[in-house]
Amino acid sequence: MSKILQLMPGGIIPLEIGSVRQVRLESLLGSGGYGSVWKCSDMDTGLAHALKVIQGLTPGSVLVDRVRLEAGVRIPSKHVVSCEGLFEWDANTILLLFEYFEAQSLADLLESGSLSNAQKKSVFEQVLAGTRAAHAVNVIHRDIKPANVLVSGDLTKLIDFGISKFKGRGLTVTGEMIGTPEYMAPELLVSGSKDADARADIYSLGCLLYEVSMGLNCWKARGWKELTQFVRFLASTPPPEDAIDFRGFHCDFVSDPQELIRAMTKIDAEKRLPSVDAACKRMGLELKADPAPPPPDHSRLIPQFIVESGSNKGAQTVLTLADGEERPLGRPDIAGADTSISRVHLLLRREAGRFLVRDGGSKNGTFIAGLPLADGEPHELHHGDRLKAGDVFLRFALLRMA
Amino acid sequence: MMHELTEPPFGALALRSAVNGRENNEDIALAVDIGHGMLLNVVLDGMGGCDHGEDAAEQGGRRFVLSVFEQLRLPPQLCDGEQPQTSEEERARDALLQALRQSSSHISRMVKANGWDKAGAAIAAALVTSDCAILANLGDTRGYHFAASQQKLTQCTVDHNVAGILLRAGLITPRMARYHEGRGRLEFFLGSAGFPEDPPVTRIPLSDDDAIILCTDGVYGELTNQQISEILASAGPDLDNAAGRLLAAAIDAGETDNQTVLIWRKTGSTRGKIEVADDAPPAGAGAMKE
Repeated sequence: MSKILQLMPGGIIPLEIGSVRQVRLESLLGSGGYGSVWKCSDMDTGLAHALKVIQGLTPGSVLVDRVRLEAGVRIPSKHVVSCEGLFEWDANTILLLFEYFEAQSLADLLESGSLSNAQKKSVFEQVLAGTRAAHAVNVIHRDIKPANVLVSGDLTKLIDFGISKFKGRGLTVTGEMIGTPEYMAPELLVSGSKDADARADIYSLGCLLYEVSMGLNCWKARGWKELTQFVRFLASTPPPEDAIDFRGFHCDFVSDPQELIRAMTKIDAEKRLPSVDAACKRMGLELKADPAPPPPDHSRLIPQFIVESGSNKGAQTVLTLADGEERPLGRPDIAGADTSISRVHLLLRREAGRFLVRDGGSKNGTFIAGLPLADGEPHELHHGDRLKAGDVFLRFALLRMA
Repeated sequence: MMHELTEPPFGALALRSAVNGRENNEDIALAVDIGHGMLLNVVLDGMGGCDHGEDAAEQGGRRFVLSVFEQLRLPPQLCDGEQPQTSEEERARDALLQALRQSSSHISRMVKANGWDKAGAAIAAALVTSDCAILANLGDTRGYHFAASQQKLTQCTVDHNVAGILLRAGLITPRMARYHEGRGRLEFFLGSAGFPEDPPVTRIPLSDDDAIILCTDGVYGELTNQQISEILASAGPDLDNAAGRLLAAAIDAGETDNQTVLIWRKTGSTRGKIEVADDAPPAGAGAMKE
């Protein structure tokens, strides 16, 4: 007989996530088609956490694998509410435990109109920092919006990164509310979450900056009330280039904000600013770089790929490569037999002590900083770099030869 | 699960509803004789993936029927004898739209008052008279007209889901829409904040033997219009057989969602007839495999 999942205030849920063994549900924080999010407390320590319950999963589906893979990736940033781990309650239900951050949502703060220009600037910069850290490890948010930005005093954090934004046939629950399409990149809407990369988040960040500046979202500013209006606009001829209408726009805390937002919210993702770094550069903002010093003496180093999450976490593919040699890598070489990896997925080449990776025409792509590698184009890898092959998150490391 | 059917004053009626691969049935079907030669058929599909989806469907359906009855059967003003100068059909059309609005805000209030956070229901309704049907909907529950003389099936409702919106704007193809990840994401439903700008109501003139089919996405989701049309054509006047085969064909195609289909057929002068089978083994299961 299976245990009963007591989804109600006071309900006690046994689980195994890190050192947490049992939580008591305190209050419902939110819910959607996927399930619900609860404030809960660790029965042993009394510490508060947030528990996300994803229900209605099809056992053994690709979706379950993707949730499992993405939940295990740590995003090294204080501006992201981090996932502490995952517990599979039963074949259809996954529990995710998050840090609990007592704060107000940016949506509420914008509605009350209580933020100063200095605060607005600080909030936006911290959102950029959090997004940048996530993209560096190839995690895409897919739903950045004021309700997913939490602010407490001087500290801003993004919630709900990546996980459960996967839609598709693995999730059996149908008839979900649409949520907030106002911040959704056109390609995310039309082609779906699977194909969306870091640029989908850049679009949402542009919309967010517009709303932080103006106090109302860019749909309301256009008088749009329903998705049909946005979709008709997208389908109009000639095809529109810019999603936002800047009539009446003003913003007092970023220099040249209009051009920045315009570049972030181009309808065609190919014409959009490609990264948070590119947006920061426009703003004259310096976010500190991730320290990843490459060890010296490249001739004596052995490259390896380490699986970052999922049931194969820690699995290593160690390669010996002669100078000038290029090695194709695919499903048999990386992370067991994950089906999202093509037979020949990527190629690693050693050249004068440098390591270059290129995509080998894979079905699901090779990603660095949340962006797909262009066909055949080589990218230099450094020690500590993260990449994603299909749905598998990898870290590139250089081992010193004994 | 609650289904309420009164014997139709005219025509024949068949209902099939099944839990299928789910824990409970959040679908509701209603067929109510509201007098003056009008039959109101309604199918609802609870949303939200929790118990409250069923509550929303049940309460939404009840409120909807009451609202239509109130508008069409009770005089507008007791003190004022002057009747509005609109046709019966216009009144019926307005009544359905108004009932959608009223039941939608009823569900919104109910969700808020009970602290449910989110719940709602998709609805499709058909008010049938002896010569026409007026269909209205919110969400992705559908209404179809099957024209017997041409053996032609037409979808009479608009899907208020992301896939449907993209399809209507020509951004995706019908085939893409069937498999689009936004298929299950609804913009409008009973309990949604907004109401569509294009009034979700349409009038269909009826000939003898024509059928009006209301069904949840668990019935049509895995089937093409062609398949639905073929089942209706081959079943002929045996509505229960058609309903059972629609459910079976969808299951054969891989459907796991709740399934409800309500078929009403105009039967000339014959007296109304009703057939209800709830979770009974579908007739002719697997017969439509291609």
